[in-house]
Amino acid sequence: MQKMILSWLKGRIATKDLKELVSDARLKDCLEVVNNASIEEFRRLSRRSVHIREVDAGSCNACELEINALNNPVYDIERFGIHFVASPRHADMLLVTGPVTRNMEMALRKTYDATPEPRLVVAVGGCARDGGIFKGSYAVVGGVERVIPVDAYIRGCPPRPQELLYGILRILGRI
Amino acid sequence: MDERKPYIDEIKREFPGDVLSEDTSTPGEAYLTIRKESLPRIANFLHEVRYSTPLLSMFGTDERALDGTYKVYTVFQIPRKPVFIILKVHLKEGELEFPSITPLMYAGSPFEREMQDMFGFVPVGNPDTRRMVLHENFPKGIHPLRKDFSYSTTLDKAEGQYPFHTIEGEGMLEIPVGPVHAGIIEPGHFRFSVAGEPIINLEIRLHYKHKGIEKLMETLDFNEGCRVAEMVSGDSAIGHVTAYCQAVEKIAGIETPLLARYNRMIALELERLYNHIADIGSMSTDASFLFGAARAGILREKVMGLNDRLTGSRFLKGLVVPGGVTRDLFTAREDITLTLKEVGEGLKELVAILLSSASFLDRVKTTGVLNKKTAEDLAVTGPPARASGVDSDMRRDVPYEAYGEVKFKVPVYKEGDVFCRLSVRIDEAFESISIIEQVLKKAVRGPIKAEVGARRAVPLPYRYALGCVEGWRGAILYWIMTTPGDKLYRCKIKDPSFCNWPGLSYAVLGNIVPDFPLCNKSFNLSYAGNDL
Ligand code: SF4
Repeated sequence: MQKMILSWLKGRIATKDLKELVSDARLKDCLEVVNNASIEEFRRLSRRSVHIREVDAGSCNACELEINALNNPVYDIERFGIHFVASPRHADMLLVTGPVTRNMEMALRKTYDATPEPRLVVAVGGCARDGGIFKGSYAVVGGVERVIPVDAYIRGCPPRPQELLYGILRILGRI
Repeated sequence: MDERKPYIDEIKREFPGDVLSEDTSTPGEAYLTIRKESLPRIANFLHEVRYSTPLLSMFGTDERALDGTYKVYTVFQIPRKPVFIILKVHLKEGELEFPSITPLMYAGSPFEREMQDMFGFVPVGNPDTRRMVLHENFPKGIHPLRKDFSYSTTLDKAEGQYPFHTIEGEGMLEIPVGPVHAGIIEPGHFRFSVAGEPIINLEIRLHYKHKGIEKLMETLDFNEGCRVAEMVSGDSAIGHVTAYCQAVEKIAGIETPLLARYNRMIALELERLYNHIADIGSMSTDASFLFGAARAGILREKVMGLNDRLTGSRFLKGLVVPGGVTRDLFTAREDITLTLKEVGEGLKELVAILLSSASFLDRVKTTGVLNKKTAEDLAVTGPPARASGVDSDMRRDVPYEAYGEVKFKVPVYKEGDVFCRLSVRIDEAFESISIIEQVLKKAVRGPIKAEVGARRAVPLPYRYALGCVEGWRGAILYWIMTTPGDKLYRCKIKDPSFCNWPGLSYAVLGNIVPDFPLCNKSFNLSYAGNDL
C-alpha cells in the first residue's frame, strides 16, 4: 500500500496555483466589504495564521460544501495559514451561511459572543446577505446582519471555492 | 390490466365498509378515502401484515377551500412495483383528532409530530407529543401550513425549554452536542446518554434550519417552484428538482422528450457520483485515514469541475425545469466521457487502497449496525436501507425518466454496519459511471423541453400527483397539489433524511462515542432537507 501512496504523491500533486485560481474572471465582484475600519484593524493585529469558525445559520447546505472544499488538496486553504477550528473560542473569524432562521438565532448570537476580539464576521452566500429567496418567511429572521454585525460579504449561490478563497485572502490583505 | 386494481380490491375485501371512495385519476397512484378510525389498521395491513410496504410519506393538507375539511394523506409503495397506495382521511374543522399509526408503525411518529406543529392535528395515541418543527421561540397555537396563516407573518418571541428524554442511573452521563458542531456541517443537536463508553441512548433534535419552505411553495406557481426545490438540500439539488418536475408534469399532462429524460439521468448520476465519492472520503477522515480523504477530495473536485463546465453550476442548478432541461449535456459528450474515465480509474485505485488497510477496515467493520427489521420499521431508505438488506431502489422499482432502458445493479448487503454502507456507496458510484456511459451512447435528436403552461381556455380543477426519485440519499418524494390557476396549493417535500435520522439513532446504540462521527458520516443525512 505504501508503494501505491508514494507513486500517487510523486505523480499527482493536485493543489492549484493561487495565480491560476484567482485568474478566473468570475471572481471580480464576489466580495463586498462593509466595514473597512474593522478589517484594517484586524489586519494590523493578526498578520499570520488565521483561525476560522464556520456557522451554518440555516443554509441549504451547498454553501457548507463549498466551504468544506477549501480544505481539500485542490484549494488547500491551510497553505496560507488559514485553519478551520472546532470552537468559536479559538476563532478569529466567523464564516456564517444561510438566512438566519428563528431556530438558529440564539445559537448564532451565542457563537458570536464566544468569539474573542479581534474578530471578523464574513457572511457567505445570497441567503446570508438578506435572506435570499427565504426573505420574509415567518420562520426566518433575515440576513446575518439582523443578528450580528457583519464586516464583509462573499456573494454567490453558493460562491465557488475559488471565490471563497479569493474573498478571504482579499479580506486578510494577502492578495 | 391496471396494476393498482388487485391491491385496491384486496383492501376493500379485507376492510369492508372502511373504504369510502377511490380515485385513480393519476397514473400509478391509488387514492383511497377511508374512515378515520380505520387508518391504523389499514396502514398496518399494508406495512406489516401483507406487503411490508415502507411508509413513504405522511402529511396534512388544508382543503377547507375545496370541501371544508383538512386531510391526512398516508403514502405507501408496493415493494418493487410502480404502485403507490395513498390513504386519505378527512378531518372536519373542530375535530382535528385522528388515530395515530405510531403504536403500530414507529415510522409514523415524526410525520405525525410534524402535522401536529404545522396544522394543529392531534394524533391520538402517539406517545411523543412534544413539539418538533417549531421550537420554543414560536408562540403556541401557531400552525403555519393552515391556509389562514400567511407566509410573511411576523411572530412574537416565546420562550421555553425542550423536554429531552433523560436516562438516569448510577454512572450515567449526558453529552449534549450542538446545534453548532465542531466541523463544517449543518446545525442539529445530539444528546448522548452514555454509561462509560457505550452509547445507551441518542436523542437527535433537529429543525434548527426550518425556513418555511413548504409554505413558501404555496406562494409560487409551478414554474417558479423548481428554483426553490433546488434549495431544499443543496447537495441533492437535481434529485429534488427532478422529483418536483415529475409531479408537476404528471399534473399538467406533459410528456417530457426522451432527450430531456436522458439528460436528467446524466445529471442525477453525476450528483450521486460526487456525493458518494465525498462520503467515501469523509468516512476515511473519520476513521483517521487522511490519505483516503485527500484522494477522494481530488476526485470529487473533478466531478464538480465537470458539473461547472456543463451547466455553469457546480451543483448542476438551473438544468432541470418543468417540461425538460435547459441545455443538452450531449454536446459535451467527450468531456464527460474523459472526466469519468479518469474519475473511475482514480476511484478504483482509492478503493483498492482503502480495502487493503487493516486499520481502516477495523474501524468500519461491525461498527454502527442497523438491523433489517429496524430499518424496515423506521422506513429507512437509500444506501443505509440497502446496506441492511432492504432491497429497494426507485430507479429500478418505479423506472422514471428512462431508467428502464439502462442496465445497473442495485447493491444490497446484509450486515448493516458502516462497512456495508461504505460498500453500497462504492458500488453505486461505479454503477453511476456505467449508467452515464450507457446513456451517452444513445443517439437521439429532438427537443430538450416540452411546452409548459400554455393558457387553457377552461381552467382545470385542483389536481395532485406524486413525484419520486431515488436520490443519492434515498427516495425523494414530492406531493403537489395545484390550484385551477396553476399555483401550488400544497407541496409536501420528503427528503430521505427525514426517515433516516431515526435510523442513525438506533445504529449508534452500544457503540462508543468516538465512533459516532463515523456512524454519522456513513449515513450522511441532510439537515436542511429534513428541517424544510
Ligand atoms: S446562498 Fe444559495 S447555496 Fe448558499 S445557502 Fe442560500 S440557497 Fe444555499
